[in-house]
Amino acid sequence: MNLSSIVTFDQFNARTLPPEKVAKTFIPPDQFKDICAHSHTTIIGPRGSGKTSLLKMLHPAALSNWEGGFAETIKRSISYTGVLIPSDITWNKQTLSFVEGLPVDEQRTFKTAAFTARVLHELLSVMIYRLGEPDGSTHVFRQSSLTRETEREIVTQMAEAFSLKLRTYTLRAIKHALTARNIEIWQIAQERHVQRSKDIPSWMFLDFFSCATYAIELYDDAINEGSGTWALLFDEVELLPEWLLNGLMTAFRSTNEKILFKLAISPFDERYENIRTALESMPDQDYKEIILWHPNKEEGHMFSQLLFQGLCHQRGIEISSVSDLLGPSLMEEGRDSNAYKFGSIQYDILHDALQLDGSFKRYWSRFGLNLEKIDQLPEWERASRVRKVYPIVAIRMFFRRFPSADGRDPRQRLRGRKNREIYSGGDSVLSITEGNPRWIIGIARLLIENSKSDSRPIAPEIQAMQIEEAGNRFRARIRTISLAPLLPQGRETTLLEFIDILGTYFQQRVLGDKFLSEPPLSFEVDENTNSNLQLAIGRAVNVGALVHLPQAGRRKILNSVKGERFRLSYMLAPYYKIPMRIGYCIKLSKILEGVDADQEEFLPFLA
Amino acid sequence: MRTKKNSCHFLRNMNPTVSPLDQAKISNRDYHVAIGVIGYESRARFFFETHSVRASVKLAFQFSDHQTLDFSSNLKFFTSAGFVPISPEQAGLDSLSAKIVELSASSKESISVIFDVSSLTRKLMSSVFFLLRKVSLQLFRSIDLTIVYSLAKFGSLPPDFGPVVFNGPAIPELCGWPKEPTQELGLVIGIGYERDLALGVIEELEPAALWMFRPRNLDKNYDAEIEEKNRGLFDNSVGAQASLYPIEDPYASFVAVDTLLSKCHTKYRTIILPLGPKIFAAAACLSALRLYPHIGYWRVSGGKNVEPVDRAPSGRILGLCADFNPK
Repeated sequence: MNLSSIVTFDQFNARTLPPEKVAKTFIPPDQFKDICAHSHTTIIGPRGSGKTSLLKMLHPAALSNWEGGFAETIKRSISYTGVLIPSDITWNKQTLSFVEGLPVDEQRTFKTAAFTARVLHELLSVMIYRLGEPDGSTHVFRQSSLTRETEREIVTQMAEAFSLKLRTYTLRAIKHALTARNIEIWQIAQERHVQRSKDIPSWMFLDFFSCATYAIELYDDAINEGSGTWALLFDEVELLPEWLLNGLMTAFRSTNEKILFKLAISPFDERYENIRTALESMPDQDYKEIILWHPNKEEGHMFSQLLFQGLCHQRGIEISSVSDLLGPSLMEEGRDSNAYKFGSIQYDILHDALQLDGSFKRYWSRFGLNLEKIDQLPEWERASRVRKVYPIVAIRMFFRRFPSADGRDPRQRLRGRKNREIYSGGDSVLSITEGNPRWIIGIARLLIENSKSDSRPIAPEIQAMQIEEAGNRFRARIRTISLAPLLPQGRETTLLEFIDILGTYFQQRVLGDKFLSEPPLSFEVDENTNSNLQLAIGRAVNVGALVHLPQAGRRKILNSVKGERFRLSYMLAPYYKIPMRIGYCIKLSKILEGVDADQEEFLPFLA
Repeated sequence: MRTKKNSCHFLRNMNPTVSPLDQAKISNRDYHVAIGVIGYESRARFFFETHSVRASVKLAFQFSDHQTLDFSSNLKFFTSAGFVPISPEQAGLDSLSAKIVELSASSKESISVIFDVSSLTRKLMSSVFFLLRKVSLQLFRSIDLTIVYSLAKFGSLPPDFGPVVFNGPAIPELCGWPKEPTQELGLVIGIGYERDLALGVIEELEPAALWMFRPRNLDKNYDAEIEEKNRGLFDNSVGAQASLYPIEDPYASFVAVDTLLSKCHTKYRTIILPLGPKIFAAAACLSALRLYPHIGYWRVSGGKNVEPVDRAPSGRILGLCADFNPK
């Protein structure tokens, strides 16, 4: 066993790549320009939506290494220095555990001390980075310089303010001392477990914002950038304990012009009231709210396309579009001139549907539509009565059983296509991946590995298999999310069971006996929805299983889901056999009417 | 009774020395403490039922939930064999600690403990191991621990593990405290028989580096079960590289894990999450203790949902020895 057999997930997750490496393959989404703006920002998105990557790109090391495309234009627009304070679930749990058993106020002290040490450590790292190499051989973004003497002076002052004992007076020495402080915090906590009388040193009560502000002022004055601005980039803000979140919001609302805040945050947390209050008090020009998901699938296609192309390029495969590699989507509404003509896939599917799907035939007849004369329809009618319903018809033809006079399985008429191949094709894959970089990278890698260089497009059955695999991985993740804390008694329920209720409902409307030209595929949360269910919806949004459909003029971070609208993620569309569209919006209570009262585990959600 | 003056003794380095179990020497000898578990699996009593073990103190952790299947038989056996039922919570651990302290007062030799880990939780296992380490340092006395494990006969687990109710440090003391908190997360995971559980955990924790251990079983049915239940993980080429550890050789498994953890914690903020057989979990816990406090020893729990299934003993006993020696 040796370290060479390490399996790394660096392809998946920017969290694992240092900023300079993120920059090498960075494809900026449309929102990036706004994220870079000189304003406080919240970057809101579910897991995998790219929040960490976008924050990393604001680090000087990333900006120094970012080239090509809009890089220079955007870099010129950035007039601050970014300091990323990373976080993750594991670190969060570790900081909760190491003080477990101590009085609550002490726990808070220790956790705050660990947080402060971390913020200062990252700040010092960036200060050191901006100085570049000692021999001046590299040029870095927002390069600065310090004489030895000046460095010693500011380090002396920092050390005194932070109560750090140093042997040498350099910025690196402070950074190392802050690393050692982390161990010291743990040791003191362990000692307090055993010996309650053990003193808590005064430096444990240092406030991160005051310390950071002080250090920044010292540094900027020393490098003759007295009016310089810094941006503190906090990742996974929702993992912070409440009082730290409150502290962050207080700092956020401060009028310190030297410091900007850019917060990466999941869409929902019941504690966000404080954040919403802080944000609502800020004039719009001082604050931007950026969402990283796409209520309408087409909004994410451009970015997804570029990312896909970039990934192919890295593997030595050049494509002009994703459809070049994956072929057309069977569910594509068909806007080119050959769509719906005799011999086209759209024609075949509609033809079969008119033979087999009596309910669809009634719809078709109601509007007097003629399959042979679709091209003669006015554009508005073609769009609203034919193209719009086509994906629904296609799904019904692929998945629904129709009674047939000759007794044959009607799906065999579709030239031997297998069911889930309907989700194959360029546009479909772009929609399924929802503009989520993690999903795009995951599926793209699997597809590229399975493609042979001279075989394009990739066979639909291979695509279907990989799409199914990606969906299963996602469902596995959702399955592990318990709703147990929401249900103190009785059987634990998983988030997946709740998603299954939604998916099954939508599926039944799409594949039911009655053809619906606009089936319900999204829902609105009733005002009187059970609080447990609201929290479940929130969790589903944060993990990406549900997509929020924000209403105009309202803040995008949610501490309550009442009155809000959601749809299922298109990553789950193949599993539930539903089209990828928002569809008609229905009240959640209507969906829950169908839940069998014998499903005991769901009774607490229905009360 | 000799104690070190510094009450924060457990902060000191103390690496338990691990060695293979000598099967010939586990029976017909005297121990200071024997620890069993009263649970629902029939193999919970197998070792003590089939081996003649003498101990000054006999304690058995008695679980209060899932008192079904073979629970009554186990309770009857352990009580008639002279084991005193104790709580698997802090009260029981305090009893164990008090007994060891009491024994150390009357003897100058190492305290010998034999502990059957076949049917206990990872939380309880790590609590006991950490307690032994702590008491050893507190008393400045060596504690020889013999860990025994009754290998189960093949029998399928329920198809769905259920939701993860808890995913975190097995005990707070083993949360893992890295030397460098800004290091990326390295996850070492033992693969088990619970469908998609490893995959779900990996997806949640998003490690920068991942190492997987899967058991190479004596019974090939187990291998097939693991393959099927973790298809989503193994089919993905990123997840395909798992190291095999020989379940019948716990010491070799320990060496493999310990070597890996020793290296990777210098580069990564490292967590080990040992799904799969308890003997592997025991080996992993010992390694985490050797590298204390830097390695996080984590567990996942399925809560009350998990349907109890009896795992009958195969007849094979495996184990490890650990010497907690503060000198």
